[in-house]
Amino acid sequence: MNEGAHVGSIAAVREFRAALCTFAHDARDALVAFDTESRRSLEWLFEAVPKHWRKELRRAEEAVTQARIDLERARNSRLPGGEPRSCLAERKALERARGRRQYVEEKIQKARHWAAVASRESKEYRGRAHQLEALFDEHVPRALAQLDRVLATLESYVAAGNYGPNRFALVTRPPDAESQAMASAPTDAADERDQRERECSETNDAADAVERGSKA
Amino acid sequence: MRTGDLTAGAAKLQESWKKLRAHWDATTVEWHDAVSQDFEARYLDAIEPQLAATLDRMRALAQVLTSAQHECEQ
Repeated sequence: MNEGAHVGSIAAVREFRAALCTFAHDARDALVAFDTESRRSLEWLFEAVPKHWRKELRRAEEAVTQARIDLERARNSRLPGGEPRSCLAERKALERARGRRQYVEEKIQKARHWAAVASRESKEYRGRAHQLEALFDEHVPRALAQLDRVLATLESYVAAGNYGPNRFALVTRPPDAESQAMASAPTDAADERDQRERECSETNDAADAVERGSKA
Repeated sequence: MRTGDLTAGAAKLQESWKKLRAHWDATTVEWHDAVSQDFEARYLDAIEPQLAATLDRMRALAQVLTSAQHECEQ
């Protein structure tokens, strides 16, 4: 710690370290959750949707074929008095069948369009997400390691009684105030912090390895 | 098919970052020196633009999938 150090509360630094652990944990959870959900949606769009509409197209084409047959049969038949039939119902049925087929063909076009757009967006997202994860992998362990060094230095100052504006530029609260601040923290919050600390212990080991690697 | 959980993922990521930033702001009231400034620049300021860009892409993909769902459903 150089002479320009100015720390009013070691607990504040310690709590920020815990907050950083919580963030790293929650951010990864959010990315994993989004990744899982987006993959599920993409699978639906790439596989289930085309399969469904291809099946619907076959049905629609069969319906058109059947409606044509029905119309043709109606045209060839006569009323009891020998008059030709109007075939109005059959014409309408054919019109409806053609309309349904057109609707399904449009759905297939839309599905192709959105699959292409989603594929492009998915690649964009995954590229960004990988960059962010790589940044987390590199920066979070280093940030935690730096905070640990800061905390160790501050605690050694406090333990040695070498603190206060007259002896060091480092400014701390009296140890009693620190103790009270720690003691007054809610038990649940303390338990959660302990949990995060444990989760981050492996991260610290990784940070040390990174530090050693960068020095080498 | 529902895509509501996609927006929840982006919201959770953004909320986590906001909490960390707010925590850092509170921390700098007690810790403000060259080391804390370096820490902020080196780590927090470096993460922020990458995180914002990722959030943009998450929202864009969620929007595309929502539109696809609307247009392609039975």
